[in-house]
Order: sequence, then structure tokens, then C-alpha cells
Amino acid sequence: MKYPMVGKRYFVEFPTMSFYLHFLSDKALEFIVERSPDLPKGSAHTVQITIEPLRDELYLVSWQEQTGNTVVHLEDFKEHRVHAFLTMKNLSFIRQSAPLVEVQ
Amino acid sequence: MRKFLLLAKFGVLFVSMGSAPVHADQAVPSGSKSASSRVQVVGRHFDFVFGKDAAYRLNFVYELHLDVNVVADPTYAKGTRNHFEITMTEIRPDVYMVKWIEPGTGNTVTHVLDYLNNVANTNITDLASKSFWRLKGEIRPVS
Repeated sequence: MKYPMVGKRYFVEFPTMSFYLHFLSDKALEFIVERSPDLPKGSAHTVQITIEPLRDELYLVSWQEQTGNTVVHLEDFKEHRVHAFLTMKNLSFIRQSAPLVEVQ
Repeated sequence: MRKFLLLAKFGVLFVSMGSAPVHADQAVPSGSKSASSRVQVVGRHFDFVFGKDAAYRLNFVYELHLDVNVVADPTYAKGTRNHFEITMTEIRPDVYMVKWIEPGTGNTVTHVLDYLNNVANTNITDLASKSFWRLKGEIRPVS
């Protein structure tokens, strides 16, 4: 299956953190930190992802980071919005939403 | 271990593992049935089936309160019951995001539930084992 985000780059700015996302393939995502409570600005991280198609232009994307943090993204390409659920290593459970902005 | 994993997704385990995560939500709307939704969720019972030996009856008592009863599980007796304080948000007609923290373990659970297609996607973070589980199952309306 061809996923719409693969090969593309996005900028996501949540209230407390922001990232550039680059979907390298349907199994790998590189994210670059713009602002984060626990990762240095400018640092790049590649994670193994799982993509689950849900509805038209609606996908569930999830991964676990090396830090142990887990991330669940509900990515809505119709509404250009991402809903994120993050379980952080400091035991916080964060739910945030933000625009999903495609960048070159 | 597999038995433990299956049951843990609905928070039937309440073994204390230390400090529980802290909610850090934005303000989001709760899961009232929208004008474009077809399926009433709150006040009804649904079976969530993840396999022959892993089935759970969920009752969304109201928008912020979920009761879970074990229907089938390799380890825990049928009828084992727990309840959780949840956040439920509808993001498409009949598609809901539901999340909660298991009070005993601190494990986090994120559901994406499609009641029109009867599909449940579940993500669980287990703090003790640092595991991350993804499960897909069927939603069967009961009442």
C-alpha cells in the first residue's frame, strides 16, 4: 500500500514541543527536534514506525524511541492535523493536537 | 508473557509499579455523539475481541467513565471487572480516540475506535517492562 506521507516532510508544532518529520519509508521516520522537553534542539532521530490505515486520509502511526518514550500519532491528511499521545520516560502522558504542515 | 500482555491492555492488572504518569492534556472535547455520527457509544456495551482467548466487554458508562469486564482471557477469570477514568474525543464520524492511565501500574492505553467499521486499534505502554504493544481487534455491539 502506498501511504501519502511516505517520502514527504512535515512540520508539527505542539504547545510544548515541535518537530520536523520526514517519512523515509512506510517503516522508518526521521524526526528533527525544533523544541522538546527532553531532546536537544537540532538533534535528528530515526525510529521504526508502524502505519495503520483507518479511514480515508486517516492513519495511525506509532513508534517507540530509544529513550523509551512511546508515541501514537493519529494523522489526518484531510484535516491536515495530527493528534499525538506521548508516554514519556518521566511518566507523563501527554495528549496534544497540532496542524500537520507539509514542508519542502 | 503473552497472557500478561493481552490482559494488561485493558488494565485488569493492578500491581503497583511505582508512581503513575500525570495527565498533561490540552483541553479537548469529550466524546458526545456528534450530529454526523451514526453509532451511539455512551451507555452501551461492546465486546472488544482480540482473539479467541482475549475478549473484553466495555461499557462507556458516561463520557469520562469506562467499565471493563473480562469475557475471555488466558489468565484472569471471566467477570473480572475494572473501571477507568478516560478521555474520549471524536475525530471523524464514529471514530473516537480514547485514552486512560491504569491507576495501579501507571501503564498508558490509547484506543482508536471505529464504530462504523467495528475496528479497534490499541496501543499500550507498559512501564515495568518498557514494552509497547499494538493490537488490532473487532468491536462487537452487545447492547
